Amino acid sequence: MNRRNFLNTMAVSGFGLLTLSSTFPVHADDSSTGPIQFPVPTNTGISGHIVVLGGGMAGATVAKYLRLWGGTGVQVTLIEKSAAYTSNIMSNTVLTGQRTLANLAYNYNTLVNHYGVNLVNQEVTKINGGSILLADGTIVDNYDRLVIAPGLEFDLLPGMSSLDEYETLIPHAWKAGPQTTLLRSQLVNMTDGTNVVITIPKAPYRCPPGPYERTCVIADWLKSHKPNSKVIVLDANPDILVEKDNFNHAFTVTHAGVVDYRPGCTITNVDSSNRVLSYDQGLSVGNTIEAGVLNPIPPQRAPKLLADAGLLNSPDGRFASVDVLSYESTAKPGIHIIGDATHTTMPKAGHIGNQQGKTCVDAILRLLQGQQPDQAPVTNSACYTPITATTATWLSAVYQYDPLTKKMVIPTQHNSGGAISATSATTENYQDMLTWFDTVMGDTFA
Amino acid sequence: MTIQNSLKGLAVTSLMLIAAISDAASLTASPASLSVAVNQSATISISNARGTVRIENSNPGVASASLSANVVTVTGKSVGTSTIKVKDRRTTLSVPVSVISAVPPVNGNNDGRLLASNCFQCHGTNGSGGFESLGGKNDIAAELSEYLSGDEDPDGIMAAHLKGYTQEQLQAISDYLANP
Repeated sequence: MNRRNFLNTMAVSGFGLLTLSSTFPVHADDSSTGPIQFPVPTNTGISGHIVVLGGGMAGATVAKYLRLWGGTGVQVTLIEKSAAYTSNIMSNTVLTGQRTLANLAYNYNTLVNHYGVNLVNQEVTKINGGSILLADGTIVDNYDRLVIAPGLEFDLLPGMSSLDEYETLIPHAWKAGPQTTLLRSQLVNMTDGTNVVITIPKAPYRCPPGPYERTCVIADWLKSHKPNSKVIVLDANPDILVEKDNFNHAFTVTHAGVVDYRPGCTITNVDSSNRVLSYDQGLSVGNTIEAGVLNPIPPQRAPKLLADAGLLNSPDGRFASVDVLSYESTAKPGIHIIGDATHTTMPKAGHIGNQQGKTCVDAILRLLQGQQPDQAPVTNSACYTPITATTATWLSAVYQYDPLTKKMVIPTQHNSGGAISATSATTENYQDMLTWFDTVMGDTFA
Repeated sequence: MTIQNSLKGLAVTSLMLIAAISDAASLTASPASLSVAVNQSATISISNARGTVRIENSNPGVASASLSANVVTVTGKSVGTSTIKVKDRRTTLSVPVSVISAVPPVNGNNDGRLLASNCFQCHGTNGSGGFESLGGKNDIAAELSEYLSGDEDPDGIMAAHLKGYTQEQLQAISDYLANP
């Protein structure tokens, strides 16, 4: 196997980092209304090398903000196997034909060309304490701290034998990409009068409102395209997990007669070739249902790569426990883990991953200077959900650090410690959703 | 006999003190010269004043200066130099002020910055856009009050969201956004 010290090679050939000492922000090239690109400061006095694994919402935010707040002395290596990130947020509108998948692609050009992030398009095959092994045999080991933002992997459901079944037969489309395209084409081609069956796994899973949102937009689409078809939802949870009033209203009023929501369901067998599910619901066991389109959303966990590295120390061993002041792993020091792969009180969501990323960056920059992390970080979630092709709701949550429990909790003055939702689905909210989406993606990638 | 010295045309780094005939010490200003960043403030302490103290500021576009209870507060406005004259009944002192570029805090420990970054997902990095740009605005605290009091869009997401922050945090965020 060809091994070489990755960073020594790079040092010899030169990073060619773009440093900007100007205080004038530079607008993005590709749009006159694009996000402003702020200069990387040259005089923070902070230096170090941070490696970031994963270029999704959390990882890209870390890479950008390490440079934006850390300055030119902070080298950032972002290791991401995909050439671009495809946004999960808004991907349900690909299913209804309102957007294309290509429209949801975000490249790393600004991170590389403006912020001077060193991008390595490679897969990581092993994480050790002080080094990482890439698929081409390269060892990356010359870093001060490692940040891992790997997203999630998906379990098989009972009766399934291969993850390929999600790729070719029964897409989950819970990571936007080819499965989203497949699910869209299955919907377009389904026989009118057959049903879409969606399964929802037990919490925690990526994007709490997501499955209910998908139910809504598909139901809305069916009304005009497959008027004799319904959406049948088999939810492993005992009730709608979030925005209960809004989704209940959507299921029973807005999409009345099209959505059949069944809580407390346990899937016992999946026949992916024939799209037949067996499930129990409470005392009613051995139910079967055949789908025209079967969209199982599987149970999710942090990737095996982290399990092999001994990083998945949540109580059920499926996620990584972290110190939420810095996102440092409580299993291994020097390694920070953020986003969907973590076990915290915060939901798994892109908007949250972005804020966890900023908190992690602030902590790392302090740690590089021998200081303690900020002892009172705040994170937030603000999230818009389409209910039809033209209306949407939103939810808000703010998390404060509780030093007694060392967890992030919603304070009592924010709806008695709970999330707050829009009072109804409106067209105004839908327009706001588009603004929110563009802005959060700009804050992350531009 | 009173000894007087004129302060005209002296090098800006030197201070000339006037010796009074009595044993009492004469007007002093400390420090003798000042360097401050744009939007930063610093103070000059005045002591041993005889009678009312007045100040003059040669270049108010570069730095503002205000006097209260024998303390001059100088705030950098733009890069350049100014001279603050401090006068009592007998003495005029010149304190040269040099205003330098605002630099990011070396320690990266700007509490307001991490807090304010919660706003960027909806208002753009550094408050540069999104729903409404916030960066560089001086009236954020006032606008937030309108949401908090229920005067502005009480059923909207902004009023809801603000409930999650303390007053101190919102003030820190407002202060940061005024000069991100």
